[in-house]
Amino acid sequence: MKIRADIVRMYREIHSWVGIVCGLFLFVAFYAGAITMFERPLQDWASPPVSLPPPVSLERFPELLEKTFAEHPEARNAYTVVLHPTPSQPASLVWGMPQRMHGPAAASYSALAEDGSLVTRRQPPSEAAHFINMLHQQVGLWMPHEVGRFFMGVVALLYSVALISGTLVVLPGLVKNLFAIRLGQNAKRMWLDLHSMLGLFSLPFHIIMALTSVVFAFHDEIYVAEHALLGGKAVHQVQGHPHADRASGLHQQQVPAGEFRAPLEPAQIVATITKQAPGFMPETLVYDNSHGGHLALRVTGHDPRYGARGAGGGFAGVDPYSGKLLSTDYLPGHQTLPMAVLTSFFVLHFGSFGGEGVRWGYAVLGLAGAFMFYAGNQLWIVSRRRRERGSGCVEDTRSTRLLCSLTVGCSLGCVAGVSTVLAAAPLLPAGGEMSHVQIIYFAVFLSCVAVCFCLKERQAIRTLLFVSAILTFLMPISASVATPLSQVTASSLIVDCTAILYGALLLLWAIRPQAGQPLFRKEQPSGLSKV
Amino acid sequence: MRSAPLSSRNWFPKASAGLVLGLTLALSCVGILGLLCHTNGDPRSPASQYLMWLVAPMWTAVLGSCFMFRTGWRAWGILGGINVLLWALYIGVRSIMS
Repeated sequence: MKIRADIVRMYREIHSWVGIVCGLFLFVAFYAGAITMFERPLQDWASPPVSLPPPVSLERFPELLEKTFAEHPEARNAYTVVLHPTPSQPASLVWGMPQRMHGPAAASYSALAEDGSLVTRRQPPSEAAHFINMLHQQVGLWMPHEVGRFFMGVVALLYSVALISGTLVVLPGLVKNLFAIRLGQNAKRMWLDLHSMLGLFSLPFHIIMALTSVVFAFHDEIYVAEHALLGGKAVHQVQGHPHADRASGLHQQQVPAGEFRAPLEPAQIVATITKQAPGFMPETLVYDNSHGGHLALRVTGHDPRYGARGAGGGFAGVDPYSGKLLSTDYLPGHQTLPMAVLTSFFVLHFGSFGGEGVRWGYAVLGLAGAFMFYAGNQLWIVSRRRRERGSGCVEDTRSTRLLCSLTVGCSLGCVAGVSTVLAAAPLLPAGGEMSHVQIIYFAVFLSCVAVCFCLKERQAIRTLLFVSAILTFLMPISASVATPLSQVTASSLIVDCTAILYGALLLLWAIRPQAGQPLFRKEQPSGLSKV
Repeated sequence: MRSAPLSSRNWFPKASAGLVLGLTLALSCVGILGLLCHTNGDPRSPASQYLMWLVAPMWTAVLGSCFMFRTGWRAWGILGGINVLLWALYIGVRSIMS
């Protein structure tokens, strides 16, 4: 494919400057995003065990509800019936959450003891996994959510420019360079080949991520503009999130005043749902009484055959008195075609389709993306260094050194910080409050950057990889301290095993003679890569 | 075709044109299409969600290709001209339909 030389040159310059500006933010976003694919298992893993009697069977739910409401009338306002309790939702009945929730929140958990008496515990949630998700959403910065969202949008726009320009740069030599990874020649060639190969083969993934991130960053503002352009007579106030918490207020049952109707029992609700939507697996029944005193019910769950709009699954609005489906806009497999297509955009970002295989695939793609940004930065450094050597400099100039330290420090600092947060979470009170977790992460992150400014590049890489590996190995140890072996679930064991394997990978990378270089190189080109 | 080769030196005027005028261009298309398919901008309706999703690809496409203009003035001029045309079309459609 032929593209005029000046166009290619211009886009190459744009690509490298845009890349250098946003590369490190994107590294953190992709690394934390890959970990966030496992937000739920990690949260279960980090949640400390609660001393509660075992969850009740479906038939005993009415008794549990009745006893809870008698003892805690305020629980009626908003309560959630959990059909399959997990360590992070350890009881069948959860209530007393704050009204608007962003992420996990403190809640009361009710269960029945063997003699039928009510046992209630109130517990704050583990926020370690949610923190990593926030790190992903705010490209690794600590700032208020609104500002962070806007900043993420700017990075996403730069990212899309980098994608367009990068593709244009690669296109002319596409056929010649497609499978060529010249590891032996020199450092610049190697980083260039790795960077463009990773970028090219995951281009569809990156296009999806760039476009959806721009949308996630600016959807509120776009809706406001759209409303101003089309609304004319204001019908509805434009609401916060377009893809969350919207249908909840819409499907209240109109009950004539003075007449009391008892809602169906949870077992009956589940039975009617499975009859109306076969294949859909209900997970929680979310009751809400706060909208004008009418009881609204939302059933969340998933259907393995369909993708779900949210990262955690889909939901349906249900009439709590008859069990009839009221709203299927977000119910997987029961959406109208336009809604299903819209859902697919979200699904492609969250990887919430196709089960565990796709989840792991997305995690690998995310890590590969993070590595691509690292390779891009290294490429920038190596070619700069080469130019400086060519013009007679023996030492790196200050700006090359600065960027080199920042690249290694920020990327490996993020790796070490995430591992520390996860290793520390089970030992922290309540499995990690947001403020504690934030302090830990940023302390580790900043000290890693500081280490990179003090040590030489090769040494810094080796040290930080080694530290990250040790911290990752600490994850199963701290988990086994917090959770007795008898209460370990299968999903926590998988997290432990993955941590050990990942730690081993980091360790392997740290102790290799060519630490910091992605693959083994046979010959050492004259002095260029010796720092 | 073009005499002077393109360069990335005058990136700022071109990129700012792409950033600002790309967004307004995308929004004008949202306005026109939204009027033609009678949606009221309620974020719950699929039509307005599709229109919202339209903004990101158009905006990023303009932002990525605005470097092809030879000078910043041309970028502002041509993109501004397209904007004026589209916004005039929007106002026209709006006045016809109301």
